[in-house]
Amino acid sequence: MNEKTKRRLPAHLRKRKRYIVYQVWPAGNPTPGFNDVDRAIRSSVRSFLGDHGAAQAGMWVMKDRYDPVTGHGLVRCVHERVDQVRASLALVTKIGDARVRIDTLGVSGSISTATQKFTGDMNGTNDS
Amino acid sequence: MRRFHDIGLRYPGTTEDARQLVAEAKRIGFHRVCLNVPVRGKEGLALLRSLKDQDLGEGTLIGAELDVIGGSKGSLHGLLGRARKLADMVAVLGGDLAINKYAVESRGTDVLRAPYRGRRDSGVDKVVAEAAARNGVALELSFADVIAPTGGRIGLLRRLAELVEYADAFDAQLVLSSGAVDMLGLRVPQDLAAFATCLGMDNEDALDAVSTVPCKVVKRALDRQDERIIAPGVRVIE
Repeated sequence: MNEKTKRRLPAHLRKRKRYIVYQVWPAGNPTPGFNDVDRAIRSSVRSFLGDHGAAQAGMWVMKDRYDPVTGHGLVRCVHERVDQVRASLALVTKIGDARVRIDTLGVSGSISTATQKFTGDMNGTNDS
Repeated sequence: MRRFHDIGLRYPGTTEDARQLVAEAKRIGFHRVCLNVPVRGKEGLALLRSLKDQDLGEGTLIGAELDVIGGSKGSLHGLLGRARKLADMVAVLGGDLAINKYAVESRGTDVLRAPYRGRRDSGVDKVVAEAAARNGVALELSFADVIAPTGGRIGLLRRLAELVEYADAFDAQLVLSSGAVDMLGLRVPQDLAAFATCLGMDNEDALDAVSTVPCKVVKRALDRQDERIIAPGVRVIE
């Protein structure tokens, strides 16, 4: 069965998702790149929740939603694991060699609401 | 609407840094903060005295963090009395079981901070938890200990979860604070609450641990300074 013919689970059986809006602080010059942020978040989640917990959280750090200028970004996870992912984000203390903290700005059920409400991006699109 | 309090901030060393720390704490959502000065002897008391008249931002309290590990109950008793006169709040840094017990049985204490420090258990047993509940002394978990644990983090998380269980079982007040000494140590109050849920607290209790409970602790501490309150529950109206 190829990708086109593969059928998704019915909507009521799919896991509900949440989008956590975060901000890497201090933002500004130099703000870490996406790859470093992604690595730091994944490492923190894995260290705090373990492989099993990280898999259950269904976490995805969204590359196209990270803004290196403001430090804003989105993490997608399963709605039951929001608190655990939030706690993992709070446990990040370093990205690369730089000391940082990651603030959670809010949690939303859709990308557009998350970006509009918490990052002030009124179009809900962040193309940077 | 909840008003978040962080009563576990640590004095960064200079008043300028302290002002920045307080401003940043307010920016990320805290309504009121308490800057704690470590007190081990006369130097700490002198610093407390000098900070008393400083303006560090609206809603900022000055706390004394008494550290008498290795000392006697008598030295804690003496420090408690002197720090009480100089600070808005008094926290005792725990760790030693005898000190933990003495701190929660003393009415001069507002907070027993990090009773698990340097231990292989939570530092709280039935006696300590009951005394804390009876005397209104809050047990405080510091997020700074989780960020930079002195031993392994796995053991620390187990000790924190045990502390949460004791507090829950004996209705002791539990406070969660960032324990930050600089701006990078601060955390958003909801993130602290999210961490508390990972220790076994339910959502409401976790949010209370960064809002309602510290608010009560602050109110009780400020009531002590009110000269019109002549005994617990008795206030001179006119």
